[in-house]
Amino acid sequence: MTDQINVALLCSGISKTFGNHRALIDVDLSVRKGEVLTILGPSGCGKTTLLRIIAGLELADAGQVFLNDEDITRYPASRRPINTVFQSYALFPHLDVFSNVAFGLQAKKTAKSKITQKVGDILSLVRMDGLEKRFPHQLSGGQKQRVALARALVNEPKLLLLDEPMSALDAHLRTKVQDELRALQKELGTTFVLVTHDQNEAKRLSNHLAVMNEGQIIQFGTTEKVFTKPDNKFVAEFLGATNLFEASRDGALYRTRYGPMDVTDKPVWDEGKILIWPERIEIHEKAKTGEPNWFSCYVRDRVFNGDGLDLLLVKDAGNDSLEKPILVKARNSFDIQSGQEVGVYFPPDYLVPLENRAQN
Amino acid sequence: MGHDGAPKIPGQGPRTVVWLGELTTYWRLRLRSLAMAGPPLLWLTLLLAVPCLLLGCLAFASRGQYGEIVFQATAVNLKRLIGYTTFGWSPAFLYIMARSLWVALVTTVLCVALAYPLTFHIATRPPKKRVYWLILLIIPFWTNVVIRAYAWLLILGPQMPPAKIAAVLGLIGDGASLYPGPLAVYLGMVSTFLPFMALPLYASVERINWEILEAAKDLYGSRYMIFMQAVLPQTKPGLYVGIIVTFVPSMAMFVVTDILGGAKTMLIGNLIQQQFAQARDWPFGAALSAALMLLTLMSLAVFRWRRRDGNGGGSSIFGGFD
Repeated sequence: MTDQINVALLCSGISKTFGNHRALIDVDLSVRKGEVLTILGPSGCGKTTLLRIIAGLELADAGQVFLNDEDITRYPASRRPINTVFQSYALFPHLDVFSNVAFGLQAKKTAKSKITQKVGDILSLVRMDGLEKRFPHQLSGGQKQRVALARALVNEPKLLLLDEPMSALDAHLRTKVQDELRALQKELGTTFVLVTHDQNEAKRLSNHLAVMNEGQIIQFGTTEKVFTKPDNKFVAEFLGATNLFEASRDGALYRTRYGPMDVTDKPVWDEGKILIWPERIEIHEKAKTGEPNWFSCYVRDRVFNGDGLDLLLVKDAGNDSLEKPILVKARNSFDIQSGQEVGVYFPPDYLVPLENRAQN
Repeated sequence: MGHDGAPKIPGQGPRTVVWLGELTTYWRLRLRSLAMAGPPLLWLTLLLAVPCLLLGCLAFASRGQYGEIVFQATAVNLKRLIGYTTFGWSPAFLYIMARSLWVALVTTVLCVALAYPLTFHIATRPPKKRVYWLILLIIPFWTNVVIRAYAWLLILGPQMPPAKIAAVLGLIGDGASLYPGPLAVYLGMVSTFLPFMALPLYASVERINWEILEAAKDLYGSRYMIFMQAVLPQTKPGLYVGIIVTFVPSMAMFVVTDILGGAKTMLIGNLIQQQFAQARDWPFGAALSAALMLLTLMSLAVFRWRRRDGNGGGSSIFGGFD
């Protein structure tokens, strides 16, 4: 409560039902000023509905939305100092770049000279100066996105909402655009709320992360925290974790299918799931026998991934086994071959026990 | 399999082409398109272009004493058209033409004004319910215009509530009916032509990108701005088709105006019908018809020119609405 002044957006108890589909169930969310919050979740999880409620394009059945301590729940979109970058960009197709960006200022009856100046400034900020006379159909995907961004930011919103801003871009452009967006956000200090189903986008852009599933936020925290310590199986798997295994307490150690494990971060449960990220697993020539966290495996497959090897390890050497393999991202062991036996070490510091409460 | 044989050198033998996945020659394609487009072309030539030309020629003939056509080139019908008769100049025919233009214009504007809310209402219903609304809209098509016009007579008759209410309000005399008159004419015209406007418009409204409307709202757009910048540009194709298919036939409409309008609201359609039927003055009827065609084409040309002009102005926010 001490940094209440710093809260830009606060949603409390938001619920929304469409027909008999509960899109949002009692959602609480807060965003601090100048931050980037990403709402991450699979399609149909309610993240876009939440964004639309914040934008004022949809009315919540229950709950309140506060912007800088002002209750804006019942304000129409046009009364909220919030602007949106739409998924399809929604540029006005018959208006040129300048007029698209000028739209909001024109609607607010800003003086012409001021409009010209502000639009010029924002267009040079997004490096679209010189293209004022172009029409949307003459722009590339990346350029359209920058126009959409400029059109929203020129109004100096208290909050900028971005609905899957990268989804219409080519894969190779995304990283570049993400970096640009990040730099722009830092320069302007505008609070961003971003909706995406792409965990890489979430990772690169946001300070805080809210992972949603089936109308609820199932984990909220800093991006680092959520990515390194997912609360439950859903979050872990959604963030791309594949190495999840059962564990049960056995004295000071934990019994797993890979042998006894020492875990630095002690779980709260006696039986549950443990996660390890593929980058954290160590591969050695031989496993140390009789020591916890060490065991030996066979390489079922090796895939070159550009800067290292993706190894699929199994305990059972048979090729037809149904065993779910362990994925290891090995940086510098190119001489490892399929079928070879290797020693595997799970460092205790990197074993992440899932809290295992909501969904397992 | 399709690659057998050396590539043909242009000009030597038939040029083979692949058209929609079929290996054929240009010559065969030409022949085929002629076979497909030929019959309708012939139909249009024989039954539309030729009669129109004949009508144009007929306009320069004159009426004989007993209603027969005297084929002798004369400009007497054109003179009558612009008001010169044997009794001096009168603007009656010009006035009728202007009134026809005006009635068609008002009908079109009223149809546009009604069709927008209507089509938006239909397009925002769940898909299954849209069908019912569209059927409701189309049902009048199944009823003859004459029957509908007489139905309006019944509704607007002195015994019916609308006329009684109007009488109570002192708008018309006691026991009077709401026809003939402009009100009855426009009611009849709009009810006749609304489906012509609404159906093409609906085709555009149904495909609208609603995100653009939301973007306009999100950017503080007023209702006027939302309509002008988000709705109108997206629905222009359907609107234009609707305007043409409403305006053109309403220029020539005579059934509705005949039944509901009375003598005071005679339009060019009624006049033409009179010349061909009662007056048995086919040459003058032909002249009037030619004038109607010319007037319609001119209106469409103005509309097209305005449209292009409007597009240019709409490209800039400053030019668009200031």
